[in-house]
Amino acid sequence: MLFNSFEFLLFFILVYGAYLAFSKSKSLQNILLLAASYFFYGSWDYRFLGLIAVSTVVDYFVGRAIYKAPEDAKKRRSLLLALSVSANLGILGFFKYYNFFVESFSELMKLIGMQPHTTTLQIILPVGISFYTFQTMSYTIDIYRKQIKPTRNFIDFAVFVSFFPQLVAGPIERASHLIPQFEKPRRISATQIDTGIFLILWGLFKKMVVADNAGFIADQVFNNYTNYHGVDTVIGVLAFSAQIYGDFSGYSDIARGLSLLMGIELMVNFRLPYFALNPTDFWRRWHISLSTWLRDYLYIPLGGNRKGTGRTYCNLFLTMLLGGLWHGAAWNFVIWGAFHGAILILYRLIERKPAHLDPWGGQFAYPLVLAKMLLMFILTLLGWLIFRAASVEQIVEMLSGISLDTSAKSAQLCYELFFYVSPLIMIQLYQYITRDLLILTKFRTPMRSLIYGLLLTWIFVFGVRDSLEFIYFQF
Amino acid sequence: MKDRTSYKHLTQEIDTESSPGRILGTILGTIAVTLILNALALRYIDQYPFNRGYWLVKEKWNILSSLQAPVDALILGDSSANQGIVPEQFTKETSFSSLNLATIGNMTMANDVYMLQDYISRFGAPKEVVIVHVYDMWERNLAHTLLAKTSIPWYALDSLTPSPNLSSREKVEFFLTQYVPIYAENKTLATVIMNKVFGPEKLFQKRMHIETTGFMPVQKANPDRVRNDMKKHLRWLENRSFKLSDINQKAMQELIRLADTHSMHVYIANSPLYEGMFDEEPFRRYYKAMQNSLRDLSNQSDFVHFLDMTVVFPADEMQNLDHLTQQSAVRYTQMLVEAISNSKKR
Repeated sequence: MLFNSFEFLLFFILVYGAYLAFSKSKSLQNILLLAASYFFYGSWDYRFLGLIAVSTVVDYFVGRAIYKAPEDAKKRRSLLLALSVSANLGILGFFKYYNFFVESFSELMKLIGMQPHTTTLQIILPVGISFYTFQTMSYTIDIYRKQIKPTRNFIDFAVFVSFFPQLVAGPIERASHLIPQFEKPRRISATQIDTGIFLILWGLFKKMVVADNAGFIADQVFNNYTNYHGVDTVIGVLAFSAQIYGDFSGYSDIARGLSLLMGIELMVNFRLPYFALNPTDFWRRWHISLSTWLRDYLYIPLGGNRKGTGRTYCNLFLTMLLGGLWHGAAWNFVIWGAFHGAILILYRLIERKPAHLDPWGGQFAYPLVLAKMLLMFILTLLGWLIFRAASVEQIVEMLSGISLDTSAKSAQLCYELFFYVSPLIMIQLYQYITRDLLILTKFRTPMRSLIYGLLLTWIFVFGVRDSLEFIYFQF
Repeated sequence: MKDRTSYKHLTQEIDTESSPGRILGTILGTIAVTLILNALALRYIDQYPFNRGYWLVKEKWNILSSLQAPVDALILGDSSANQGIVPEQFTKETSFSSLNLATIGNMTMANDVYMLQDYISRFGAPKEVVIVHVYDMWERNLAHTLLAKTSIPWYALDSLTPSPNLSSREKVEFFLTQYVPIYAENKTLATVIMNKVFGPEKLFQKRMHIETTGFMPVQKANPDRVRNDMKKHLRWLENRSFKLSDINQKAMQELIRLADTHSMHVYIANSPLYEGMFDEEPFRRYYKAMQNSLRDLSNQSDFVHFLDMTVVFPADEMQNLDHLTQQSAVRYTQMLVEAISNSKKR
């Protein structure tokens, strides 16, 4: 069930109605959420409900066991943690990476003149597996680090793992942030409903109008890249950058909006990433839940920046490399991760403390800030070209084809892309200038109604009905 | 001094105090704005239509609804009749006043019956009814989104005879097509906004024309299109046997009932066709089966007459496989009148 489908609308109306009816009992609400979440996930593929159940059961009991282990039983605690991590990574590794590693190993052996006999399997990737495995792993790791206590209520934990708004494409929540919300009775405030409505509307706009329409342009160029060169390639990459942003941030906004309607707060996952001034700034704005997860559970355990400059750069690079691999079992994702790792290191070499500088701080001229923004955006586009391409050959050919040459289609492609993306650009500029992602909720009711009405009408008229699946579902 | 390494002060989500009244006001205001924009879209599409099929159905029903006095002969059918039968010529040949209410094939014969029922309820039965359809119409099902362009309101769907048998989803789409163009005709509106508002073409321009008699004249032939159409039709005919669709079957039964009840003579004829089709065996086989079936059905009533006429034209006198230019339409009308006359003599 996609969020922008009638089936989901019907599903949510029924679930929400029951949720409100059970408002006096948080236990009943949690049971309802658990059932609804399993139904939601089962509607994608019921065969993989077992996996999410296994992940839930293992981590619940392992979490409790780690917590109960005596202070001096470090080995036992480590073994239990290893059990949780290996169970989750094992599931993830098998379903997502088995064929990739087998094929890559086979290619490597062929390079050195060997002919290995390898077997690949027809493996279906369970939707959302990269998200919920990371989410449950963070629970056991945080218990191990004594940052949180395990929850006593299995249902509360199971809802944390499977909560349907964020199950299939994030945000990847932390137990310390989400579980307490399931443990307490919910009081849904008017502010939450108000914000939730805006986020759902805005998310649907970004997904159905911007992402899906830009996706057609991006597919046109990327799927027939040998027929597109020069400016057309640039337009294709710009279209993909709009698509992936609109798609993913749109999904996150809808997930957060739905959750707010139920009195649950999910973390902000995007903070205007295309306004970033440098790679560090970018990763504090793009898919924040993943970047912070990688920082806390990979980068810092590797040593972070505490073991000297060289080691810091190695840790950064490795973290970004694995972050790229998280996105998919293909070499272009690894290259994309490596690319971001490289530019992170490059910027650190040039700027000691890269950060987002406030262009209104008065200390820097606008042109400098704009230039930094433009450079970072160009680097991001380069990364997206690598990310979207189907092969290394395609990356090379598309990159080498970029020029100022136009074709008969260039003007039309440019116009179409600009048409779909311009409302997004205008609103995001306003959000950036006012430093408030919820600025549109601040208007008085008549103006807000006008804006929301225009957005809704735009969704009806320009929204793609046979919607493309959310890109991050494949991760 | 601001912490320059912190991003937090730059883009936040700053909640604003809200209240149930504010939320309700916003929801109602949003709905109101959307309804206003929808109403403007509805008015625009009515005045300056883009979709020819929708426009033709709506226009013919408007002609029927605004009819002030009865006519002697009603001409019904699909687009082949819409472009193929000239009411002035019909009147000249028969001395019967006539009106061309033919629409398009995807409306099936059910629409002919619905129009006839509406006419009879207001003016009584006409002296003659002429129905002309293209050969491949008889297998089709009624397009519910086209039906939405008639004057039939959504709440009357279940009382129609023959019943269109719409599913719940189709009824919702019917309603949306009638009243919510920002949803149902979004592609048309998207094209208008993207290409007309910001493009060179005029936004407020009438694109299609029909005469007050209901006839839609077409001046220019398109022989290449006729020949291309033939290829498509022959592909469609591959391994296909004639089968009357359920809605057309029921429409015929209701037509027979109306004809018998009102002693009203109904003449059913085939559309004009490109002559090249008759060189093809699969088409001839299918056509013959179709004629036999219609003849058998017509024989159930003394008032329903199947005209066994096959009228062909060369490609340079046609717009497509079954659509005539105005000149050829005059000749087709003459042949039709002659066939009706011969039928009466029998």
